[in-house]
Amino acid sequence: MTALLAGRELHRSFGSTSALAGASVEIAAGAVVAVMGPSGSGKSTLLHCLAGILLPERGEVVYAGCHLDQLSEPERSRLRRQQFGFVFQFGQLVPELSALENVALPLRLGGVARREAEQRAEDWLARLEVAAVGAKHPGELSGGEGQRVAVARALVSHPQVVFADEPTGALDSLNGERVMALLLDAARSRGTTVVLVTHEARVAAYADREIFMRDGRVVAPVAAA
Amino acid sequence: MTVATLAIGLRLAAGGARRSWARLALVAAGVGIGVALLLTGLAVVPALKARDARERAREPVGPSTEPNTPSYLLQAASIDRYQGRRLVRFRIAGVGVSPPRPPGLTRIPRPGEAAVSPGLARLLRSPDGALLRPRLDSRIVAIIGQAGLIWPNELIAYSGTPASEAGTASGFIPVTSFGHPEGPKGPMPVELKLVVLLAILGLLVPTLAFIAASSRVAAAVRERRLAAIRLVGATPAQTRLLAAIEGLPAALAGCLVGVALFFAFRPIAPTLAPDGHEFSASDLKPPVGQALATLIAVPLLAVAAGLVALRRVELSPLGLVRRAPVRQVGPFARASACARLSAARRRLASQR
Repeated sequence: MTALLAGRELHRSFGSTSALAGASVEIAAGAVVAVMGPSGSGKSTLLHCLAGILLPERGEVVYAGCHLDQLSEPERSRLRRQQFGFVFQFGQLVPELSALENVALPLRLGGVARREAEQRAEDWLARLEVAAVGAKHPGELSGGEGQRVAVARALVSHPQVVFADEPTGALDSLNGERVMALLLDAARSRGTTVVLVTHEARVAAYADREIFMRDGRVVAPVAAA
Repeated sequence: MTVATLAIGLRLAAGGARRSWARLALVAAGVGIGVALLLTGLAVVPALKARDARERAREPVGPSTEPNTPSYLLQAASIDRYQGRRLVRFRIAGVGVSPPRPPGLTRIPRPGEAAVSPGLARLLRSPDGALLRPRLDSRIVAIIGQAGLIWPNELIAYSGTPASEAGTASGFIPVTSFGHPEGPKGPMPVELKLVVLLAILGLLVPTLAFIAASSRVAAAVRERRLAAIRLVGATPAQTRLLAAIEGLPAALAGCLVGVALFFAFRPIAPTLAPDGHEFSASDLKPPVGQALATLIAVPLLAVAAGLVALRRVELSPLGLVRRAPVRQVGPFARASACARLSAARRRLASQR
């Protein structure tokens, strides 16, 4: 199967610390891939490089035939907005905006009219079972509600790939499982690819494929599923 | 897309969270104080000019010898102090049928009569004026009008004197009219203008620093917020626009606060002036053009300060990455550290 997203021989360091030391991975369209490994193995750095948030010092990231390192920063921003969605451990919601406005934000930044953007955001909040919190601000939400809002925001622009970095790391197991179920139901129903970074086997069990990292390298397996 | 970004920026500026309002209030207060200081600084020169004009309007004009007009006034000025305040007393005597009247007087007081300023009248009526009343030794028959005062609370008296006494006593000068167009003082000297300019600049620099610091209040929170927005796909240009816009309402509110503070401070300002340099609060008026320029420039400056602060860091979707280079330790600092280290080693060695 052809890879939708591929990272090849990725190297990235922070100061004298090497985070990626030749990591390679290929991810097929529609796959749900869990990236696992111990702390400091380079899981999050790999995710950030694949998403175009960080540029590797060596190696290449190719998404749908496009080399991310050859794109300008505004082009990578547009790619993130139109093709990618993000769910991080602490939601990364904008505290000044209501939950509904947070979900509508990627659409609004893309020039979608406010009414339409908020209508689509409402639909996603309902789908993630948090329609009632639309008017609340992030500070007024529980951890589980906040992550569901973050999932709704990640999916509202119908991305091709959702990058989730420890999406349940700050939640209790019940809430964590519910968030994962909702995220993957929504992603699978639209054929969205999910790259999931986790160190929890319980969360990784939701994935179609698991890849393991150690010392900045993918140790097994590399090929697209 | 720009319109949407503008709308998001304004929404962020007045976001519903209590913290946003607190931040807006803090920045508005900081900018407001800066604007009030600037407007006050701009108003100082007009106030001094207005004071000078009032002083000139009261200047007596007359020949140095006996005037050849049938009517004139004889005037002698003396400056006294009472309870630390400056008291100006004019003794006057009319000669002829229509001698000139000092500004602010409807008629020339007769011998034994006096016209006093409102401030002096209040002082004389109060218990504090008990010791002053015998010194004035005249019956108060009139209150000097505003046209005759340099500032409202000035202590000034015109006492009527017999013309026969004024004609022979020393210190009296003949007056044929009041008010020098340019006055004996002439226009404001260049040195004074320079001092005023330096004072304004001295006020301006900390004010601008204050405005810049105010607009960077809660910068860390703002930068985290902008990073979150970058994560969902805002381009660097959109992020900069958002940063600029969200500082604007606070700066505009700051301008309104500044104007309000200026008008609230204006009545108090004359009381802070040094003795002998008092002015009228109503003279403290910044020139309209300069005031408008300030009210336009300050919000722009606040926005610029926010943008400059952002320029030092590259807003990554993951947070901040410092763009400014980390300062290297210079050779002098290295040599100094080495010298101290070897001195410490020698001390340790000698103790052993």
